[in-house]
Amino acid sequence: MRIFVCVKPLGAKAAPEITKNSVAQGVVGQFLTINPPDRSALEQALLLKRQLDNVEVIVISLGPSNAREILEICIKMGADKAVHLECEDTKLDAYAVAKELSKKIKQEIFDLVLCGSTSVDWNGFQLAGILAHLLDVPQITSVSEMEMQKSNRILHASRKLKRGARQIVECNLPAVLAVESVIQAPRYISVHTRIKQFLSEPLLETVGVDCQAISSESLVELVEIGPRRPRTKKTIVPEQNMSFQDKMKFIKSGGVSSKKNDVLKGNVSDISHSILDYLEKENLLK
Amino acid sequence: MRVAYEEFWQIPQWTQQIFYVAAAVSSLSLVIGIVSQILKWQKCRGSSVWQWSGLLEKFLVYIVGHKKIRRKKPEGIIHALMFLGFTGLFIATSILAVETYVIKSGLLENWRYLTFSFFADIVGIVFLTGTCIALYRRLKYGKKEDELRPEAITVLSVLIVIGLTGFLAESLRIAGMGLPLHESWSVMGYLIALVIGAAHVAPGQLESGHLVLWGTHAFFSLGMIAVIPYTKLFHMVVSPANILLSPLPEQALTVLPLMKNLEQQQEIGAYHAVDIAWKDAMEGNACTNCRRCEEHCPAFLTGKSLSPRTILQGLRTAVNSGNDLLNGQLVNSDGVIAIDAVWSCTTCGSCVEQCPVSDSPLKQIMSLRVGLTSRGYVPAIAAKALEGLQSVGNPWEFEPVKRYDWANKFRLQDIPDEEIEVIYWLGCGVGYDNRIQEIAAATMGILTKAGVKYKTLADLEVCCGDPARRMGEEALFQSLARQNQQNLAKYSNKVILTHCPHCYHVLKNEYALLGLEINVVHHSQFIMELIDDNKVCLQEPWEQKVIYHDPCYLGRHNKEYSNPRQVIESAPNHKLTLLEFEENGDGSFCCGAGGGQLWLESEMGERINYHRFDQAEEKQPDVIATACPYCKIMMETACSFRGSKIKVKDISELLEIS
Repeated sequence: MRIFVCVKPLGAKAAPEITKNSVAQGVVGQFLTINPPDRSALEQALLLKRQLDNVEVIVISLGPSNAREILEICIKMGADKAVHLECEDTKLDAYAVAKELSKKIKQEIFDLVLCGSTSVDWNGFQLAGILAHLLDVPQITSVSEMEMQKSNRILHASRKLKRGARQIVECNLPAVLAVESVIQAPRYISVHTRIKQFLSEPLLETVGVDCQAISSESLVELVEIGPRRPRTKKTIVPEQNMSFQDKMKFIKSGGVSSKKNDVLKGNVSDISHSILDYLEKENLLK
Repeated sequence: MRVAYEEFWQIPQWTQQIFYVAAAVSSLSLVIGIVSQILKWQKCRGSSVWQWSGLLEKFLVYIVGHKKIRRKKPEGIIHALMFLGFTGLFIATSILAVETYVIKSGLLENWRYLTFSFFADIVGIVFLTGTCIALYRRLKYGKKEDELRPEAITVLSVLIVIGLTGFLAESLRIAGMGLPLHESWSVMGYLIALVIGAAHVAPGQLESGHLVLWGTHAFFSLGMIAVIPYTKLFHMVVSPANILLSPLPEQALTVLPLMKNLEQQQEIGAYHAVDIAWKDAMEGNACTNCRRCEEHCPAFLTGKSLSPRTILQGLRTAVNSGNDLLNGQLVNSDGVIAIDAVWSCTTCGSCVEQCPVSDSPLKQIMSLRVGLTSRGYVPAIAAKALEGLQSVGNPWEFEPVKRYDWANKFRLQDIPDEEIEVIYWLGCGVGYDNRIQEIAAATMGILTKAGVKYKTLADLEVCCGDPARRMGEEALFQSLARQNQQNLAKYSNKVILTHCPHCYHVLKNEYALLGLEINVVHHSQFIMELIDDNKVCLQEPWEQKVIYHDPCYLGRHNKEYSNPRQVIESAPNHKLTLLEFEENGDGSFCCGAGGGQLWLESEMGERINYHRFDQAEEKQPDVIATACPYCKIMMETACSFRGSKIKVKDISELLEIS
């Protein structure tokens, strides 16, 4: 079974705030991350690889030259091969990226394409859908758990709904799945993994792409990234002369004491009478 | 009658021949056992660190002198009796062998024979006393799954049988010789012989009785020697060897060896059983299950899944039986050591401090952690702290410039670099927690008032690397160290002052491994120096009872117990009364924050800091004083959760200085 995982590299996490002085040599400050949902997708693929026989995991990324380091890390973490579509433009939108990825993926045999639900810098949530359309395969979004059925051509994907509910969607392969989270949190990428020698050179394929042509495919243009404007939150301040435990209880309860709830029992007409009585008693009826 | 040793008294030739055959078989079994165990150890691929220095001291003080074993009373004293008895009897038997096979005659005659007889009987009595008390205690206090297991009882009983049959055979011989007066130097044998003599047994029966008992004694003795490598008696061979080949106990905690050339290695750390070094495999066998480590381990005592002893026993099982090393949901394998146990350690060093055979469960746990972390199997919250270290250089993920923001009110003048005497290393906590800022503020106040010319490194500091190294991120630690090395290079002739024992330990001991020698001093030492040189003018504080909590990294790891106490006691007119914990000094109980625990939420059992706080409350102090920012945070959290009025202060905050 061949699984393609699409990853997007993100740049150094806190680059603007680190002063020039503190980024001398060394790893600190040059922290390349993989987009966290893509990281979950990779972990999901590796999980399937551990569980099933004969699974090949191929990581694919469209990005500038620093994406290569991310792909090396993916191979060191257990992926079988990697493909680097080298393009220096970082302002490509999901359509352009999906078009290029689909061109490459269509040339190969694939059973499953995994990607993250979204990338944390653009937050578009579009890649999976466009990719699925271009590849002409079904898609499932916001997947949290995957299970292959016996025939290896049918997949059950779990999606998380509100308040602990789960939805299981059945899908024929090949398909595109957008992964939201994984049952086992993605492993930490240690510094040793980053710095150890990359011995699997032949497994990383670099493909040059026509950057200009792709850029012209973009349908969405990034105009501006403004600063965050968090709203002030209102909290209830506990009294000063309360003890620490009481203060904690107060804050945790949101400032209201829990009232005992009445649960009405009986058939429908009894319950409606009780409700009407209650509303009259509390003077809620006009 | 000659006053001399008579070998094989009245033992017929055929018995002697059986004896020699049995002795050969027994020795062969011993040698084969030892060699096959060594071969199993040698399957381990890691690189061993053998410490050959100080052999004489290790031998005299820790093996013969039983210094660490005697710390636990009465078990230590009882073992000392058994050890002295057994060694004495071994020496006696060797002398007999030399007399019989080498010198052939003349050695054990006259006064030499009498002294020898006395010596042999005395050590025999010591041996029997020790073993009998030991068996009694084992039967009375032992637990079914452990001390009362058949092997344990059998081995001890066999030793007692050997001792008893030895004396009985000797007394039968003395009675059979007709109770000659010179044999009264064999005190015990002679006494029993007197009793036998009073029973008027016929000489023929004495001789046959002697033969039977001699045979029994030989059987059990040779049998014991044969099974040494296969039973708990193996510790007699391995444990002294381990003591001789490990670092001296005073230096056991200084520093974990550095891993070199990390880029060239595809896999580091102990993940499979063969990754450990063969010295570490030997440590597994040297462990005698004495449980001194468990009785002082803060994690074990508060109900976590960690037991230092189980780690060592796990290594031993994995090496000898070929099991997997680790087990846990994350690693998907079914080994002998639980991952939760590995992540519960606070690296306090109590286990190393207590271990009588110079084992280091701490070192093994660190190797296991390196194995786990380098492969990414870190708990999620710890991963966040490590990623913070990778991205911004501190585990709380705040921007480095903020490390200095809070100190603006100090308005440090611009002193030219040549005049600076002291660089104040702030550490990571100050930017994040105002309780740690209080420590730094107090220390800076003292420095200013004493007229010391100092400056801080502000945003040039990155984390010293302690959380990284303790959580097993060796490569990240080396990267951070190299970065600090560059920034500290131009201050190599100045004194680096720090208030944090973790930074102190790393800068003093671990940076030296990477070739960086730093002259670092802890603020308790520096303040005491200022007080001794009368550079500060101490005022009388309020009268308070102060209990001092030894930080693990200042106390056990760096042997600094006196300076912080002297700082407390230097208050004028003894206004600060110094109280001590039950467990203080090198037996001090950890606060629970070390070893990266501040970023690893342990769900099981009681919180370590609450346990320590309860110990403090028993003494009813007004203030808990400590010399470490982590200890201060932990004690203060415990204090507010218990709703107590006790204050928690760093020693620099206790002093009133004008």
